[in-house]
Amino acid sequence: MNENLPSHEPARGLPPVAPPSGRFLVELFVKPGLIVMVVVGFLLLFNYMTSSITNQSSKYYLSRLDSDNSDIRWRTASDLAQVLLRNEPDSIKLKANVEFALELTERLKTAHDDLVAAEAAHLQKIEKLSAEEQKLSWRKLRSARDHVSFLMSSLSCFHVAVAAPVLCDIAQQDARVQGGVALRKRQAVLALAKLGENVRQFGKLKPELQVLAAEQLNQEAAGNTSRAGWARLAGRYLPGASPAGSDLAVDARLSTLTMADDPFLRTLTALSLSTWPGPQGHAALVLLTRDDGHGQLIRLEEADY
Amino acid sequence: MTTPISSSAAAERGLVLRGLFLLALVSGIAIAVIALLVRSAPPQANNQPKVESYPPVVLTPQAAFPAAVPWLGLYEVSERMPSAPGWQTRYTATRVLAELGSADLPWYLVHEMLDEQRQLRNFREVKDGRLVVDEPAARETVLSTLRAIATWQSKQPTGGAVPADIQAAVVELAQSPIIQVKVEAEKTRQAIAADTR
Repeated sequence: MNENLPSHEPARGLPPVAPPSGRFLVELFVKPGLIVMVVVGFLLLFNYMTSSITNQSSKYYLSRLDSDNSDIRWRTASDLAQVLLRNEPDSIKLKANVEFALELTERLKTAHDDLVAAEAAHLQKIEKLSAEEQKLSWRKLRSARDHVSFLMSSLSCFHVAVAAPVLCDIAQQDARVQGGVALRKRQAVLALAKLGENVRQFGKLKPELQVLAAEQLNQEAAGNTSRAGWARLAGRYLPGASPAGSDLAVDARLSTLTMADDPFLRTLTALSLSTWPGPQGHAALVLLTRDDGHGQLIRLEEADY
Repeated sequence: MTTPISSSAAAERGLVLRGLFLLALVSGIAIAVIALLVRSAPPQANNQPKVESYPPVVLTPQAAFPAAVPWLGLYEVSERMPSAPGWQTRYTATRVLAELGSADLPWYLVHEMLDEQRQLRNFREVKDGRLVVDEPAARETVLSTLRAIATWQSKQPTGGAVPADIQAAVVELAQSPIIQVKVEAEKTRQAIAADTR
């Protein structure tokens, strides 16, 4: 017997070699495959459901934002906020929609005017209450304040500057009424900063979207209404146009806030001027480099929100 | 002829040797990582005397004004104090002017914003009765200023140059023991050097 031939018997301790059974193949391939298919199916379903939110038209959002039912309004606001924060094609199309932006701007102006009137009336009503009761009484206006805040944030996501004049109006409002006004002014300036950044991105949109937006602005700019004025100003911020030198230009209006009594508002103004360049804005920035911190820093309390 | 027993013993010995080799390798990696962490630890606390001990040095009431005030001492005190009120607004406006490539950039403010120690004094606040320093915020001021200088330089036509004292401050920051500051300062130094050639 040749002692050098290798032995075909398995070494001690190792399992016997056998071909894979059908059950083994099912456990190895079919079960994992089914798990992966279920997970992918869930992901596709989720995508479909979210895209169905994105695909809604501007008219759908406007009609539901105007609903008498507050639940419907706030759910629609939540959906719209999610859509505006995305960078999908349908979201970008919505954010370049001039008519939608103008409709929302009109609602912001109306809501803000109503809120200012309500705050003035409320201030007269609570004069005789104690300080603590006065603080708690402002909660009644929270819903209206949240609505204005939501509209400002939404309009800051658009790629056209139609909301800029109204945001400037809010930012320049007299803040002597109450801390809630100071918060609103700060939010307006921050919204302008974000809007300025998004308006700069207009040139990166698809050419057909840019052409459509420019045409819509031209159509809306005809007339003597406030809405036409907003469209005209927004048209001056399209690539190639120049708003420089106009007192209505955003940098000119922001530059008036260098005199604001709230130091934090002045800091936010400097930040916002980075996205609205212009000669008056530049002069305002140079002035702000000599800021001495004067004024009273308004510390916000729960009643102000 | 090799017996099964001796071949399994040899296999086991080989396994042990491989295990010991891997242990030595992993230990070496762990030691190297610990050494790197220890080397890049934050610097020791500033041994400069606290600014609160300066006022007695400044006041010498024996002589009439202006001789009563040691002006050099007063300058030294100002260099150890936080920035004057309104620094948040001034710094934001300066950074924006730098990012816009403005010719009116106030370089004295840029110099102040690059001063790490000054920023650590600016970002002090009292919390629960203790003085707390917000180091990340202070460091971010320095880092954003370095980035803004690089942006300013990139927007200058030929001839625009960062002043020598700012360049010296950037070079000094490029030696910082803090990796983030060192890397950003080096980028800024290279950006300045590339555009001034």
